[in-house]
Amino acid sequence: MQLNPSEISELIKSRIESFDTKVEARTEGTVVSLSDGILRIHGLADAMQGEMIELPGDTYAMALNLERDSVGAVVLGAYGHLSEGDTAKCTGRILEVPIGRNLLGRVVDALGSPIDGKGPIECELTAPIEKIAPGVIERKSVDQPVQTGLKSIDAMVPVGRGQRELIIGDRQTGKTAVAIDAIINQANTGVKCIYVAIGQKASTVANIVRKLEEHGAMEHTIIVAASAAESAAMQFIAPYSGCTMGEFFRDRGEDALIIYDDLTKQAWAYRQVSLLLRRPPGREAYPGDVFYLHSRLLERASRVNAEYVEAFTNGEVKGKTGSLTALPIIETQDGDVSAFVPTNVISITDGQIFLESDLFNAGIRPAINAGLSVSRVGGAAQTKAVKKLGGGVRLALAQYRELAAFAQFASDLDDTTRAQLERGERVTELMKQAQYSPLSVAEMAISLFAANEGYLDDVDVKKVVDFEAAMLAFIKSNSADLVNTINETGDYNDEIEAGMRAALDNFKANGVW
Amino acid sequence: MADYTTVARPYASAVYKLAHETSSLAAWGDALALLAAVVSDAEMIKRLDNPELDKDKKGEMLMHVLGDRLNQQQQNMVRLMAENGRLKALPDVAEQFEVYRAEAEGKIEAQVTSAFELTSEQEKNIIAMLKTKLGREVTLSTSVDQSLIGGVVIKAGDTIIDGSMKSKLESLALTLSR
Repeated sequence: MQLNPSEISELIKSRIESFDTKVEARTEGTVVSLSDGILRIHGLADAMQGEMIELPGDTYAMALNLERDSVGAVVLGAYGHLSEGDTAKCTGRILEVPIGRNLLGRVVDALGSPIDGKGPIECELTAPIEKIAPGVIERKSVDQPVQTGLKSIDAMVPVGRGQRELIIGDRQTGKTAVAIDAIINQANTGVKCIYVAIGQKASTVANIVRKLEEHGAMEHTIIVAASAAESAAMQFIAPYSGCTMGEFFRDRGEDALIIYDDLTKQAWAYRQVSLLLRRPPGREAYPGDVFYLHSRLLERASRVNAEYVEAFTNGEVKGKTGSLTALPIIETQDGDVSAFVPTNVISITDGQIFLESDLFNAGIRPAINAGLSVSRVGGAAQTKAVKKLGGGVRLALAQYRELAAFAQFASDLDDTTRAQLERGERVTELMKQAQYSPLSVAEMAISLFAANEGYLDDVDVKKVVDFEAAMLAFIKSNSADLVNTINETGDYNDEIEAGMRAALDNFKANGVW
Repeated sequence: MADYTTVARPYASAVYKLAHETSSLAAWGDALALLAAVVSDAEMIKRLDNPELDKDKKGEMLMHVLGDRLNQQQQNMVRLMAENGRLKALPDVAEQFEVYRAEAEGKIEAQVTSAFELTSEQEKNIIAMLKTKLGREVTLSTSVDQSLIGGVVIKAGDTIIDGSMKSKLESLALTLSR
């Protein structure tokens, strides 16, 4: 038999010495019924909404329905060992999860317990999973960018720190890919990432972890996984747990990015729990509070001002604002954005990135629909260089789509239209970007500059992707100073413009693609 | 169990009010206890659950067993509950009635389970402690359970104060296994 490291007799001795139980008065109840993980408990007269209820065998449940003589609760985790007649005790605590820096690089379940086999996580702090979002006074408007490293997003639908930007699309349109690229691009920016996987296959989650490790992105990332095999209750609380872990960074004057993948499945899990608790079903059988389910979660993603951070840390952190940026993901069925949950989340968030299967299948990846995607607050936060150069892209692409559809029937096109069409084709090509290869601000600016200034006009449409790759590699090695200046300042002025023009002329004259 | 509590509450409350007005709390308490005992009898449960007997028959049957030991009002209550098909809620009615009575009298009954027989000194201490904690007169009912190993478990209403060695060892085991 093997001994665990924690079983050394000295350790056991010290743990027994420090062990201390206080005798305290607790309310007890009896399990009256247990079906599909839903408990009905008689007694527990002073249970609180959302309170943890202790059950035999180190199992906990969360009280959701408080009725006159009984409490409806959901078991968190396995419930095979529970039976009718078991005693249930109040704990006097709202459900809490561990928070802190030690969670970075780890994969945890919805309760914050590690599931990656790397041993226990030492966390000094815990925090309740349900918290009220910061109020009006404590907030600051969004004015710093989150660089996703994807040209099409950073140029057309910029995301600011503290923003909620929805990623919406059918299955297999690259929603997760966009989110993962955004996480990878946060290396060296100081932005901590939390990826919450809800109702996904465990194999998918394992793949994501591996990809993040490959790209050195696990060090700044926490993964909260409630896979499809876990109970609906765990899938329902996972986003709140992840949010609490993200708020740790926000409240201490740091920046964090959280991805909920995806909220459709969370709504399904909540629908299941609600129906089993016999709450009245409404539209699409969702309970009445499904809007609040998402609004209270997404409201917690915010930018808080320096006073809030200072007050929260008792003056330890001064003059720093904190932010939690949310990228919720919603999966639509056959492009139907007018279903219940998609419309709700669209109305809650500060914009959406709309991914389409037609574009995806046509090879335009990321498959962003430029016309339907918007960012309501990100513009104020966009890097100056990208804002200046990418300003026309969204409009140009939207016009191009319209024109392209129209031009199919025209035999004889005038020169301006033809030029517009050709520019549009090349911009569409330019917006393509391979997975796991985020671009820096300078690279983006140079690509956009090349498109705006007509450097692509004499490049064959099929060659645009190769041209861009060759151009970026050439400029990075030949004009490193220019690239560094743009990356550091994010600025755009006459000097930089002249620099880019010179670099591009140089590439056109000497480069190969 | 929980289902009957909700059903029993209005009956218990009505009976309590009536008993209070006619100042026959003790008589009602005895009658309800008796009825509860009869209804809990296995043979009786079988008959009460029998769908072939109609509601009135069930009431008559109960009356037949206890007829002369119930006064007019008590018989009326049995008939009413039989009519509503709620005879099985009688034990809960009795329990609720006692709760109302204890509440009104500012009393609470605490069950104390200990590993060893309590001395009268200890009992006094427990009563005094509970009185300050709960703010009511406390009556103790004691029992001995050696499996507790040491200490006492006090149960008053929904509240449990578990100071037993057994539960301490259990939570120690849980801490060490983490």
